[in-house]
Amino acid sequence: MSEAVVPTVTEAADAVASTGPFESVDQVIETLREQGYIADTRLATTVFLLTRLDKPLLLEGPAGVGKTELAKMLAVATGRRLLRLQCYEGQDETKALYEWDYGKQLMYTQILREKIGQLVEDAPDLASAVDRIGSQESVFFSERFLAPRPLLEAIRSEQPVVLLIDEVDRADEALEAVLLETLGEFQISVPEIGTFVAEQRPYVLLTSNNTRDLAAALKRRCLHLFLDYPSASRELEIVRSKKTGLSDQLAEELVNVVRGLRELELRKSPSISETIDWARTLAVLGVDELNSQILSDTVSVVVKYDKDVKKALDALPRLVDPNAVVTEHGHGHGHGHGHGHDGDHDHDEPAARTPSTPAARVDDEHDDGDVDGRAKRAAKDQAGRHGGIYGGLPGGVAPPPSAIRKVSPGQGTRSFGGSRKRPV
Amino acid sequence: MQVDELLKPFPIKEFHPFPRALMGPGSHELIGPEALKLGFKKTLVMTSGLRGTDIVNKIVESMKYHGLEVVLYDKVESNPKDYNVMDAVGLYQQNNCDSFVSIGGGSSHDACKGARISVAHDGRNVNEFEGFNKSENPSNPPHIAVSTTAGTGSETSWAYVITDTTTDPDNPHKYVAFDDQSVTTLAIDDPVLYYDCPIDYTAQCGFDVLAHASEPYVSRLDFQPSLGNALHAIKLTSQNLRKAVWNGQELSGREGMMYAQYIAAQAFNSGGLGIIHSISHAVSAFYDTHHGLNNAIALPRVWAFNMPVVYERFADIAEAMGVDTRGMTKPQAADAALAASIRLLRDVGIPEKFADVKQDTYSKNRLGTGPTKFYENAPTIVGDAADVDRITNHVLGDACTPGNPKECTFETVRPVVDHSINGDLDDLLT
Repeated sequence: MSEAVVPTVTEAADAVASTGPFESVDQVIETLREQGYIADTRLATTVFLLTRLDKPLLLEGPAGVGKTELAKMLAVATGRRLLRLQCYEGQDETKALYEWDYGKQLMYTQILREKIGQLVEDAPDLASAVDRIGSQESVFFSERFLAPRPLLEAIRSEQPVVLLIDEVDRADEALEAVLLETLGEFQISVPEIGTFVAEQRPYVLLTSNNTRDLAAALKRRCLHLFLDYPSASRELEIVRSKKTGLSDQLAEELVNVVRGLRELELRKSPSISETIDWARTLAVLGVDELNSQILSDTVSVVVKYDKDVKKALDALPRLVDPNAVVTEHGHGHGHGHGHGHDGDHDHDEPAARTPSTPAARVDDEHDDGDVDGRAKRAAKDQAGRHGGIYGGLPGGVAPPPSAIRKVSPGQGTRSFGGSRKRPV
Repeated sequence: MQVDELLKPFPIKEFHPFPRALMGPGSHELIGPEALKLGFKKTLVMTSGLRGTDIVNKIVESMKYHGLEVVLYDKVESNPKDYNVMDAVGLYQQNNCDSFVSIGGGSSHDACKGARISVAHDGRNVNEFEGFNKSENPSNPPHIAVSTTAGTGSETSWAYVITDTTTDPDNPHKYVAFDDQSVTTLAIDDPVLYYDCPIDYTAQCGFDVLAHASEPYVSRLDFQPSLGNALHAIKLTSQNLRKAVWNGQELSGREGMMYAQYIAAQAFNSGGLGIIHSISHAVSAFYDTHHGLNNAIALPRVWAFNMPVVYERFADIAEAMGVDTRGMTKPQAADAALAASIRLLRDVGIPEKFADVKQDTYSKNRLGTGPTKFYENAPTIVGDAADVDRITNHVLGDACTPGNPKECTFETVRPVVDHSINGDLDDLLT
């Protein structure tokens, strides 16, 4: 073999970087804003420290608040290449660090078969032939056959990069351990070759949705920031910066509605990205006034679970207009109405409001302080209100009144009552 | 007719998983180790007090011996009220508990199941979860249920029954909530604890078993995997209830009933219920009488009401009750089942109609003699037309009613209710 493989080992730059792409925290805010990413001071300070201290940054928080987006924007803002490692359950280190390109190794072996043949041609016995090939092993375990995966690529890259390790909480704990060396020392050891140390330290961002606790060892190596839903003003600014096409006035109302939805304890609260999607949706529909109707029709853009949708639909009228007279619920009286038992109804659905036929949905209404107990209670005696449940329908939709067959009084007496005669 | 039309009423049935159960004499002594195994640290124990039995004390001491912290709520009333549940929830939250144990019959277990659901939803009112699978948060604290009666099956079922006293205080409402999330983590059915159950309760609970078993056996769900359990529970009840009532300190009767109640609950869990339970809930709601007693009184009437649509099934029940049905037609065998149930009811000494139920046997707080807090000024059962109408209306809205084999409307159900209150059982035997 003519050419020996020399491991690329470089001295680590131990000193804290005295310069970085940003002069100050304000400049971070400004630069990110130019890319359409609205950062508050806390976030910007952390990013500033990240660029100065060369420490990885662990971002935790609910999905859709801009964790991944920050990495992307940081790459754009600093002119660095973005490398992304998307974590998932069962991922092993070969998918994160590097693997040996077995196919390539095999192909080279095939092509070089003749050369290898010559090498062992005059070997006296099998053992010495094996020894000769063994002495050439380094040819096949060299950088030539090393397929770098994102981590190794980030370490070896000659250009400065931003490394995004996305949703690290989904990875197994084993992978987390593999990350420790990379994050702590910015180096990766390949047993067959040696240790690679980063020439250009990457900016590393890790994101986590908090589905499990991360190891203390991992957290210790990182700066840490909990990214929560933003304040109303910042969220509004974000929505505006995305140029959704929705007017400022409507965007403001929309942000307030979304914030109201987040308070409903939904299984999955709407995120910023979903607010933006909703704004775009409404803009596409050419909406010029937010009302509960249009919001109800499009609420599935932001709410993704069946039960959440039901909750959201119930709450929307109140969120749009806190003073709304909620007539849909049919519990016999809206806010500010008297108790509707005098027959003097002026609403749209008189049938649903008489005490004898209370609306079937009354029992679904529980967040409304102004509900008359008697009407609510009377509804609980309604035949068939659990109907459909034995048919496996979720939620037990009550059949319409017409579906309940009328039975003449005589039939009841015939089937049971008075004295029962032996049937045979 | 199209196949899917035929299948429309009940296309998909649901089979409910059950908690692990420890059964047999002495099993209650395992509560400490089991609680530790489940990771209990500070436990809210919910019970009705069980005055004079020392059961609660023994179990609590045993838990403490194993290093568990225990907070005791012993004010669960029979036909557990929403305020019982919410009081317990408050206690749980104040003390930062992490687990539940319920000791007692259905009342303790049901209140505890309600409290557990409420706790998992940050203390929302338990009444919001009436109906089928209304809870949304699966992160329930663990719950061990220790039975001291044999009737309820609540320690293994996905249902709990609470009385709503707040929505309309003049018109209390007893409802069932069926909820997968309410299923306990571990059930302990120890016949030894059942030794101390008073005679009248033993008899009434036995009829609760009979109602739990016979309703799924004839219900509209017609769910085959439930039928075996149902039938065997009926058999066990007819073999053991008399013994358990009259020889309370004999193991075989007590143990037989303990198993009967467990499998009966598993039968109705997936097989559905009917209007024995609906009537029972209504009467309990208005007069705070015992669930088992109500079931016992309603049972023969509802059987007679339902028989014409399911004679074959009632013939099976007759056989399970030990009637020799050879040579009988199905309707005759069904009649024999009815006669056997009335005989059993009379043998164990249960009042025959609601009008006969003495006010001093209405539910009492088992700690004392007086009525439970909410019912201090409640009316007694009169049995006039207004009473019957009121109960009938409650029956129609009950979550158990859709499972009844015969269609229920105001007109068909009213005579059944009327007969349960005022009618004579001998009418059914002619």
